[in-house]
Parts: sequence; structure tokens; C-alpha cells
Amino acid sequence: MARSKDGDTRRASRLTERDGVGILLCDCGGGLQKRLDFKHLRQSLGASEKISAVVVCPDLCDSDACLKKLKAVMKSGAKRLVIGGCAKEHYEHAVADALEAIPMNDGLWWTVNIVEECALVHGNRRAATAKAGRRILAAVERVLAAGPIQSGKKTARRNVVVIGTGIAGLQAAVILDRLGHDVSLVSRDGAPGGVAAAMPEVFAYTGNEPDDDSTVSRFIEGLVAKVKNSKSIRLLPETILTSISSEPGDFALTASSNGDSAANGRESLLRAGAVVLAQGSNHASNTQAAAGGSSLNIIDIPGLLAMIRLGNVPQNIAIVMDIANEQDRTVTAQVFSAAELAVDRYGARVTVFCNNVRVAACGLERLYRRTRNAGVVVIKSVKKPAIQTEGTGVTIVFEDPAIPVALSQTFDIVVVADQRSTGGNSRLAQAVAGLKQGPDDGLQYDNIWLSPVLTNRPGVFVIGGARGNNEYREALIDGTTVAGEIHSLLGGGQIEVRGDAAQVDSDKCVLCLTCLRDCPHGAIRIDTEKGAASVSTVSCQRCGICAAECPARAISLPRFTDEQIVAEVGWKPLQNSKFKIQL
Amino acid sequence: MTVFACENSAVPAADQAGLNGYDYAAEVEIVRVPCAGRVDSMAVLSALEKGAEKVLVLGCHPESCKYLTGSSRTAARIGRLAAMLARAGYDSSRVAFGGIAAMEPRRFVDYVGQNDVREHIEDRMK
Repeated sequence: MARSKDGDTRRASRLTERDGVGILLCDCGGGLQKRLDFKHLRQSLGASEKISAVVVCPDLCDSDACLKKLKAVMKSGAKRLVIGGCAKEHYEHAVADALEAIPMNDGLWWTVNIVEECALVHGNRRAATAKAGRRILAAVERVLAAGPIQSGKKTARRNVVVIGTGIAGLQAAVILDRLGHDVSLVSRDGAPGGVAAAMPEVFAYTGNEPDDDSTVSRFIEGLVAKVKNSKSIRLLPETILTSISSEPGDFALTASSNGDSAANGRESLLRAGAVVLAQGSNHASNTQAAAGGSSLNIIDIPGLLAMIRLGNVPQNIAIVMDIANEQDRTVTAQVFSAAELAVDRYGARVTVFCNNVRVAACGLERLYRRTRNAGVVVIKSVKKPAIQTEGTGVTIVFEDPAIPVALSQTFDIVVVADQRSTGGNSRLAQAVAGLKQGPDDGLQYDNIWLSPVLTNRPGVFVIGGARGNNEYREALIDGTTVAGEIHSLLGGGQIEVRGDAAQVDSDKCVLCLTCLRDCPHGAIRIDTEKGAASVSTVSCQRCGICAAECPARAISLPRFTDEQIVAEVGWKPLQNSKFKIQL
Repeated sequence: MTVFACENSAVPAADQAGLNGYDYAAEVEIVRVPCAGRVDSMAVLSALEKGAEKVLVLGCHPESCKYLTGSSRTAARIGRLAAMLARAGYDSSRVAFGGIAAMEPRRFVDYVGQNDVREHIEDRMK
């Protein structure tokens, strides 16, 4: 009798010492009973002294029922929790509500998938039950090695700096203003409007009326007027951004004026909660790509548009694209818009030489068909068309796929539509510490998870031309999207501070800078006071790359600490082991 | 076999494998990690130490890793670890990295079902 009493007190003391683990299992309305032996699980798991209670619940995805069962688990004195159910996405929301009501700290519970990873794959009920039991025991070890996590919120600046005043930047500024954010619009140019204001003709295809660029001009004028009339949007023309540092919610930016005014070269400091990069790469016409060098008869698209505006259009025009390399859809739009204007207004004869016609944008296919119907000839040359200047005309030698001989035709002028990037964005990219650039001078790293408007730096967004998206409608959509993203990040004037961000032990850190270089999100900086690396709790995305790379093992990722991982993989008794390593 | 599975790709793939009823050995135990990038040599070695026959690290395909560089770094890390094991006289095919996407349950079953996992994965990555 006395012995058993002793045993009881020992067991009770262990429970308080180790904060006994409660287990909540879901049998999916009884449907899982056929595949898993819950009675056996309850008995065998309940026998472990680390486990204070095992409760089976029919519906984890109903937060009321879940809360009732959770209370039953907690009554047993459990301080930590293991939840067994299906894929956690299915019940996370309900469980989160219930756990908040208990309350249970975010770091002290873990989920085990006993459905997709156990019951459904192993047809044999006994094997499935055994595996579920093993997984639950591993999770028990894991939560016992866990520590609490404290998350919270901190005050953030709500104002936004937008760099670039093309249509994407203007649209973002206008929508952000409407959502109640102050905006500073920084532009390297003098007047806002960007490419669309300079060449509204080539965006006319987006309107409903063919050949009507006044819709586009009117729209841009409207945007510019909204920006200028708004009290909360500040325009900083002829200004170049020189650096962005710190973290979302409190970025520090420096900008310097590059205009002709007295302010030239003066540095100014801006603070903002988020930054939007909306500045396209500089594009120059690539007329040099045409063989035969420069000639008065070889011009580019802006040159042709100037001729159209002046009313001085030659009768026989060739437009060549894809000479140096395959161009994008905006070049297709420019070529066919200009061709349509030349045909409709001046009755010119236009021939387009190209490798491909790219019509993947709203209205482009319609523009292409309309232009073809108006009499524009489109030739897909087998070989690169050769351009030869002689006398007053220009001759193009090409090979039609249907006729296997070289043909030649002489034109009054040849328009080379090819563009090449002149790398105007590399300076901006350098200004944002740690920004990973994408292909073709874009500011967005080429990764599907960043689509549409994210960069690898949290709080720094990229829209329109800055991410190589020069298409009119889609640039506008980018502007709206980014405003929504920023509003959800900073809307309430507060930003989420995650307690499970990576943590640096400043005693172990030897300042080797490995983490600083490895962090894909630029979330790590050097804290000179502590003499150690420090992780921004706002920027950290909790991937754990730094924790794995740190040679001094000074960085740990809460929820996935070394102790927790080792506890989970090593829950079973040491047997058949040929390896021994010191932790 | 211990499988370190990335939350963003390998875990959903394993869930899909379960829902589709694809069968694999009951010894396959899935350890959830936020990104393959979190799995360091110590985690892999401690799994071997605790008696795992094989350790497989499954993450996103390196070009579409959610955390951009996590998968590629770990692929390289596991390669170095395999070479180290071989030098120490162990069978280097006991550790391997494999790329997988969330909608590739078949690939998951293929990975965990092979005897010589590393050779198999090298074939599939070609």
C-alpha cells in the first residue's frame, strides 16, 4: 500500500516537473475506427508516464466540440499538447480558436498526421495503429523539448514610398491613398506618367474603341490629377533612391536629387513602412541590331510615331522585330499599333517581319487581327531578315517558309522595333541591400512564390516595369494588388512580430557573417552593441536556413530547434546503431 | 527510413499520396520541417545514429523553393555529407536529397520506395 502511494507521488511529481503531455485524437466522426484501433492507442499511450491523458474526439474541425474535448484533456493537468488528425490545414482554424480559449501557448503543442500518413497508406489496421502510436510518441518527445513562444505586434509606420511614376506607380499611389496611407512618389523623371504618357498610341489596343488613344491619355491625366490633388501624396520628381535599410514597418531610405535645380545632389532621408519599386528598366531602341548600320532610312518605333504625329508618313514601310533576340509582347503591341495608325490614317503599305507575334494580353489578339484585316502583311522569315541600304530605299532580304528561296523587297523606310535593356535598374537594385535581381534587369527574383508583387525582401514590393511587366492593364492590376498587400501588412498601424523568428545566442556568435550572407530575406544584421548577429522578428520568414548553416550553432529556430528535431527522430530506443555523434 | 519533409512541398505530396491510397512501407517516418534548408548535417546524422536505415531530405525543386535558396543549399549539403560518409567507410547511399512539388504524390512514393534512393534520385533529376 505504502509502496503504491510512493509510486503515485513519484508519478505526480514527474508530471509537474515535465509538464505532462495531453493527447487529443480525432477519429473523423468514427470513420477512422475501421482503420485505426483507437482503443488500443488510448490504452498503450495512456500507460506512458509522460502522457497525462488521451482523449478521442469525433470532429477536430468543429471549434466548439474541439474546445470541449480540449478542456477534458487539460483537466488531467496537461501543460503541453499533441493533436493527432488529418493534414493540419483541414482543422488548423478550429483548433487555433480553441487553443486561444484554453489558453495554450503556441510553442507547446504539435500535430501528428495519423490519417494521410498512417491510416490511409497502410491498409493493415495493426500496422497503421502501430505507426500512429510511434508518431505520437515521437511528437510527445518533441513537445517536451519545446519552449513557449511569445508573438505580438508592434507599431509600424503606415506611410509608403513608391519609386517610379509610370502607370503602375501612379495606380498604387492612388489606391494606397484611398486606403488611408500617406505616399511619397519618388521619380527619376520630371513629369509623371512614364511610357504610357509618352506613347499613348501604342496602348490604344486596351481600350474599346479601335485606334483611339484618347482613352489612355485621359486615364493617365486623371491619375496624375488625382496624385497632384491629393494632400497625402507627395511627389519627389528628379530624385534617385540611394539606399534602403532596416525592416518592414520602419524602413529608412535616402534619396538624392538629380535635377538641374539648386537642390541637385542633396540627400534627403525618408522613413516608410513599406517600399514599392515601380520603376521600369531603361529601354533603348536597338536599331544597331539591324545589319547595314545606321542610315536615315532605318528608324525606331518612337521615330515612326513622331512621323505619324507630324503627318509625314512614307508609303511603303517595313517593321522588323526579333532581330537580335525574341522580344516581348509590349514590342508586339507597339509594332501593330503603329502599323494600324500608318495604314488607317495615311493609307501606307506596311509589312511586318518577325519571328513570333506575342498576343498574350487583353486586346492584343484583337489588335493583331484588325491590323491583318486592314492589309498589313506579316512575314515570319525562316532566316534572320537582312537589311541593305542602297540609294533612297532600303532592301530587306528574307526567306518565306512557303517559298524556299531568298526574296527581297525594297521599302521607303525600315522601322527596327527591337529594344534592349540598358541596365537602368541595377543602381536601384544595389540601393536595396540584399535584393536578388531577376532575369533581364528585373527587380524580382525568378521564383514562383514571389509572384505577383513580392521580392525576397519582406516589405519591399515590385510592380509593373520593375518586374518586367510592361503591359498596360497588368501594370495597373499590379498597382492595385500591391496596395492591397501593403494594407494587409500595415493597415492597422501595427505589424506582426513573430515569436518563432530565428534567435541568435550572442555568446556563441563569432560574427563569421555566414547567416548575413545566407539569409534569403535580408532579415539578419549585425548588432554592434552585442557584437553578434541579430534577426529581425518582422522580416524573418522562419525557414531556418541560417540555423542550419551557422557553423557556431548559435542560431536556433523555435519550433524546429536542434533539441526538438533530435527528440523527434530519436524517440525510439537506441538499437542497431552504428553511429555515435556528440550533440 | 526517416524522411525530413518540407512543409511546402513534400508534406502536401505525402498527404496526397495518402489520400490516393498509394502504399509505402510503414517504416517511413515523416519529420516535418519548415524548409529543406533547415535540415543540417547534425539532424541527418542523429537520425542515422538513432537507427534509421536511410535518411531522405525532401524539399521543393531547387528552382522553386519557397525560401529561394533553401533547397539548393541543402542539396549541396547532403551531397557533401554523403561524400564524408563514404570516406568514413559508410554506405553513402543512406542519405539523399530529392526535389518534389506539392502535387507530385507519385514522386514521393517513388522516392521512399526505392532501395538505392540516391541513385534513383540522381536518375530522376537528370
